[in-house]
Amino acid sequence: MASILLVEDDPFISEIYKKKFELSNFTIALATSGSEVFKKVKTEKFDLILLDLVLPEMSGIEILRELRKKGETSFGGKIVIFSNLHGDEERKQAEVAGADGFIAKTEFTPSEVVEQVKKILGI
Amino acid sequence: MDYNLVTHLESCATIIKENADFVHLINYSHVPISILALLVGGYVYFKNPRDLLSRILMGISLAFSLWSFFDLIAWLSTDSRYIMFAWSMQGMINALLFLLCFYFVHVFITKRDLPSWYKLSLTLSILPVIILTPTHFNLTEFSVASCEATEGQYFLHYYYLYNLFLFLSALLLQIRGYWFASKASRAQILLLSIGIDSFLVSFFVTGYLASVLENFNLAIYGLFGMAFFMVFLSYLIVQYRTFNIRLLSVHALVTALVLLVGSELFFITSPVQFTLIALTVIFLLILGRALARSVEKELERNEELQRLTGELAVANQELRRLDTVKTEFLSIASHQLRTPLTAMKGYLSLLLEDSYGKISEEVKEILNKVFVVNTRLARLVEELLNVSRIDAGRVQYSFEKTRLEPVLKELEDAFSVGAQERGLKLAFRMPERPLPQLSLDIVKIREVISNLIDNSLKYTKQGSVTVSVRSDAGFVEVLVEDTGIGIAPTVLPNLFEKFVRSKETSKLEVSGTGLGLYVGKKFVEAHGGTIRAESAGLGKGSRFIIRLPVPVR
Repeated sequence: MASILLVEDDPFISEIYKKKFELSNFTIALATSGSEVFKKVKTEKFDLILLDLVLPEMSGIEILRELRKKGETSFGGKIVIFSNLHGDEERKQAEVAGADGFIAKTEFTPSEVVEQVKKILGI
Repeated sequence: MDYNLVTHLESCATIIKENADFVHLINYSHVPISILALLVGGYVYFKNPRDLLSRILMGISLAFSLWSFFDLIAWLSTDSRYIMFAWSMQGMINALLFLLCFYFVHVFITKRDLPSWYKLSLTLSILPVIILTPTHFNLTEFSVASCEATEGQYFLHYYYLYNLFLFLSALLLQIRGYWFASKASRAQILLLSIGIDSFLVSFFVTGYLASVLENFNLAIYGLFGMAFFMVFLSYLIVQYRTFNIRLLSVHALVTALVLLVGSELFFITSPVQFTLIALTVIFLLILGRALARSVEKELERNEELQRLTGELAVANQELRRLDTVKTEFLSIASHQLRTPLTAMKGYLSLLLEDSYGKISEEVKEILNKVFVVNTRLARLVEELLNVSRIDAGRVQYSFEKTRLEPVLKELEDAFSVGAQERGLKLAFRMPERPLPQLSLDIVKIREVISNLIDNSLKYTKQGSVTVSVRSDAGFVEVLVEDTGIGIAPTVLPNLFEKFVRSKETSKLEVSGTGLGLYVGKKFVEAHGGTIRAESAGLGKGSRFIIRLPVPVR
């Protein structure tokens, strides 16, 4: 099954989605900051990164830009913004920075999020 | 004093008569220059009576004028008592004048008062001059033949040395001051130095030579130095606003004119001419005053304007900063408010889906209720955030040229099932001809129409909700009509304000914040459109109409 990296600084949210994705037979790893993301991306392989926008140190958009740049931290898989900020501005920024999707946290239940992710991965 | 003095000396009168031309020159050198000094000194003093520098300058002007006055008496009187008195005072005033000039330079350059010990020693050193003034040390005798006094050499040299010392100290101060001054104040120090030094040097040299050579005609040339000093001082005031005075060039001009014309009065012998010139001077004074006033008013207005502009710029900057803060706050508030709700929704969903093991139907029912309440809270938060964003002017619109039909079709699909479940008829009446293209932020317009349909369904117990569209010249209207509880005429005018809900709505078990219509109105207005509500009264249904303009090609 596909493997996912969830970048989320809120422990409750990451607990919920870790459980849900594991129940849905995904392999899921967690990261809470940009530096952790870059470390994990170098050593492990992921099909998709679920990326929160509001994070300590680097913002989600900054991480996204870094991941989409050529270089050591480059990531070739899908990146989906997963945030409870979902204004037009955020959506536009994400799209421009090279996101493959935008999931508004507040609008979906965990099951629906899994469905969205599956759709993006084409599973 | 026990001089042999006479009230009228023929010799003096003869000398004056013989030197008529020179006497004219004396008038010219003494009177206008004294007036100039008094004008500048007085102007500065009355503008800033508390300023030390203004006071010293006033002192200089007074001392100078007094000296000139006594000098005139010494020259023009034929009464040897007056001549001797006036003459005897001049040495003292001369020393005082130098003392004041030194003081002036010191305060001008250091911007500080002299230390007390300094002042005390200066006072002590001038004391001999003052004490010895009414004695034979000052004036030893009066020569009837030349109509002149004979000056005591010790007294004379004492105060001239004193003056020289003061002048050199002032010069030293100027050089030091210039050396250490910033570029901007250098020019001012230089101007002042040229002015005051030309006065001191000319006054000192001519006075000293006159006394030593006993050729008193020389002394009067020293007075022109004062005119120099005053002109430079005026320039300083105009150019650099020294003494914090906005001395207007107009003032200076008027004064100069009055002085020039006025000085003619001293040379005129014909009474007609005298009257004419005097009237001209008075006229000039009145007109000049009016002119100066109007210019001053204009200047005040200008300064006020400048001050306001400055304040406005500051306020503007502060506003911009606050604006940024507000935006950041909204973004943080959105994030912080939504995160716990998302977590609750997540946990509840997992529980309800038996992700944490099977739970009983009873518990599930309760959790479902919690889920519904949570959803309601989430919606409320969204509405409040929307309102905050609107009030902060932070809503971003992305308009595109598009048609309304797809939106309406989408909404029909979204609402028809719900309406059916509640036993209501939901009808969408589309126009036969395609609607014109509109400039729409499709997400926002969908939200507004969706909100209206949702409201109508909520507040209608039985009957129907009809959505129809009509287009006319220049606009497209979307109508949402229902057969529901209607709107009381008293509520109707305020319906689109924040937190307004019809009283009737609370009777129905319907949740609402009274924010939806406010947000809707703002969104529609951003499209250049209008939204209005109509109702025949309570229980008679309502109709909401959104009118959107068709863009002009």
